[in-house]
Amino acid sequence: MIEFDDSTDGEVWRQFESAWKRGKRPCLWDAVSEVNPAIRTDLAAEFAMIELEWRWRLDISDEPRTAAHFIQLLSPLSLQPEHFVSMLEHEFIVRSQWGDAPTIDQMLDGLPAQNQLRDILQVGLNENFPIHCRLRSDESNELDENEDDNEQVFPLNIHTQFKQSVKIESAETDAELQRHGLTTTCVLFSTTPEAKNVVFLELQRLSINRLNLYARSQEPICLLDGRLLNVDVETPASLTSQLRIGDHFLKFHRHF
Amino acid sequence: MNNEDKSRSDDYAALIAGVQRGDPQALSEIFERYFSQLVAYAQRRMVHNPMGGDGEGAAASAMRSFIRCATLGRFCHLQSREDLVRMLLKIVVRKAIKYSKRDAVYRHVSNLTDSDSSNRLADEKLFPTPDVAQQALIVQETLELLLTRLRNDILRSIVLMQLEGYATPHIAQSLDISTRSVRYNLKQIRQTMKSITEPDDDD
Repeated sequence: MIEFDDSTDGEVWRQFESAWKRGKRPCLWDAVSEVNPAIRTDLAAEFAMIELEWRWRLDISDEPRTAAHFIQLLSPLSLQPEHFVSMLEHEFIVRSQWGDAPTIDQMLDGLPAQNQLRDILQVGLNENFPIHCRLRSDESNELDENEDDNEQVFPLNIHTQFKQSVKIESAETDAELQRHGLTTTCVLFSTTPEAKNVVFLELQRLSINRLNLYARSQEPICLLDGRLLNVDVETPASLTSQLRIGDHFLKFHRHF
Repeated sequence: MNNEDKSRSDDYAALIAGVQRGDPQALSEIFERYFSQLVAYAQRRMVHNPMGGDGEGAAASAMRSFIRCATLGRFCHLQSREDLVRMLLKIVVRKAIKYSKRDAVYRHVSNLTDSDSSNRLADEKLFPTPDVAQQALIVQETLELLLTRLRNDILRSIVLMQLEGYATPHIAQSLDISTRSVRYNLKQIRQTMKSITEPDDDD
């Protein structure tokens, strides 16, 4: 998409946004009618996203507020594929923050090119609503991964932030994580040489507050809200679920 | 105003008029009057540089930029001696930051090539190195400059919230603007940042 000129287009932008903030529901077509035709399509797409967002934030449920609606509305303009993708991602972010927190699967239902779109929505989810994992002992003493003593108590490294790189010392571990990294966004793995399974728990984000868990080995035992996680069985969880791994608890923290 | 004050005032008025026209004689006089002060000022801004800082290089680069812009007629807005001094100091601060960055990079590369000592890495892990302090100073000065240049509080708030690690939806909620406006403003911020950090032609 092209860049807007802050002095002229910026003023149109500010007026449109300001009107929506006050709940005046300005007409998108009126707002873009006076702007330079070269940027009209891009600006209309931006205004559609602003309108979509404020309809959710102001809880205007009697009017359509989906990307599909606005794509239909803007059909007289020559929208490019990136406009469609931006609007879909925007709807997902807005509904996650101010709406019904849909899952990625719900957003993709009925759409083509789901694999590419899934990647985009996952990145959007992780960038806009990052989660950190923390491992705590039974006594609620937070473990510091860098302290040798704690590693002896519980030899576990955690990929603490979703979709972020993690420093891997062992080539074997790295290769194993690469394999799993294709299907998941967060992996817990053992660092002990004698461990049978390098990866023993995978976590996959579904939405702003929902996850799928996959236990990949019998040891250490993983309990979700007191129930045993069966190996290789998909188990839904939320950020408030209590996940016990061996003698420790995994806590999720939203950092917005 | 006594006669001496009036004479000095007229002197500056003529000098500024010359700068506005890009007159070589006026620019030469600016150099004579201010260069040594600019060197000292740049040196003070670079005092934390472990190598002492190339204040003279920064001041010379600032003078080159000043003369080039004057020749292009970009200083028509200068009205007083205060305007003139403020403009010179502004340019020299930018140059001091850029020269500090250049020297920090130079040190970094030379450290890598001389790294025979097995204690060096351990020492760097245990104690803050001059490079770290230098980098911190550069970041702080660049941030201050950026916040000064941004034209409104919304832009400044976005910069500070980003630095605190807040994601876009949280910033949008806090500032009561849309997430698209946050992104739009981030583009403006990046452009301003680019104008601060990108080297000028004469560098």
